[in-house]
Amino acid sequence: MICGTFTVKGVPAANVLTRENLWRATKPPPKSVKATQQPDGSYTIVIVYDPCPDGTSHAISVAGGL
Amino acid sequence: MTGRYHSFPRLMTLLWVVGIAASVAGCGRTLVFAERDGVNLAIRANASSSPPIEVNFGLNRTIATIVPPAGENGGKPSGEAVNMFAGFQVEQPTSPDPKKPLDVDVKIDTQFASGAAAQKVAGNPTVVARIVNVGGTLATFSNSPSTVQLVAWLNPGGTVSQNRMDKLQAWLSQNYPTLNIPAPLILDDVAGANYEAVRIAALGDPVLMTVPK
Repeated sequence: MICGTFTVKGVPAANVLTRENLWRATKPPPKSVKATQQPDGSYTIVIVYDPCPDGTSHAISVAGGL
Repeated sequence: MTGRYHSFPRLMTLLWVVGIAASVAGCGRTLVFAERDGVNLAIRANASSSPPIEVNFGLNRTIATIVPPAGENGGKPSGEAVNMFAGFQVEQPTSPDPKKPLDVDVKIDTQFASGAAAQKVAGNPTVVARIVNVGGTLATFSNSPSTVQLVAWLNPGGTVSQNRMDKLQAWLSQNYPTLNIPAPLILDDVAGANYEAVRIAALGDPVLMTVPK
């Protein structure tokens, strides 16, 4: 199950729409996909899925418990 | 682990507990892990500007973790508890009330893996990055030939192929079961993760590459 937040920085303006559409095509779809222009002219895309439940993130479950 | 910052007395309690832990940890090969961060509170008022008041809040947080050895053998420490990865993030979940700029909740998320868990994931940079980067995964745009080729494959005719996206996600789950990431993430670069190798592997899979749009 995909969860949490993903941030992609340094996206050129010409690639923003394509990348946004690719993220929107994931299943389950993200709750939001938002691109913000940075001072250097590039864009940062923030993709938000449902939050990972506390204490059950991928990292901990893969580690097999503490 | 998730917590909420409340007050200075609570921090003192934490330091007291750490002190007690230090006294019982012994003098063996003990891991001592510490974090220290800054705090800032700046209020700027200028009636001629908009907004007239700006408040900048930062947090000072000190964490000390003492992990004793897993066991002892002949008076010497043995075991592998001396491994740890950790990270934390401070965030403001809700927008502050403009009338009460200082009345805000600050959420602190922190997570760590120690001992056998840390040792188990030490060879998996993706998992380590997820432990350390509490706030999520940070990727940097890639324009490598493999990325360009994979993006073109996912966008035949300039439109996203849902079928190919689904198949790429399934291919990832089958070939990289521990990654558990959205397929578009492999198009970019993530510190500690070699997604270039994943992209090349995908492009080299004749079954995947012949998936119709």
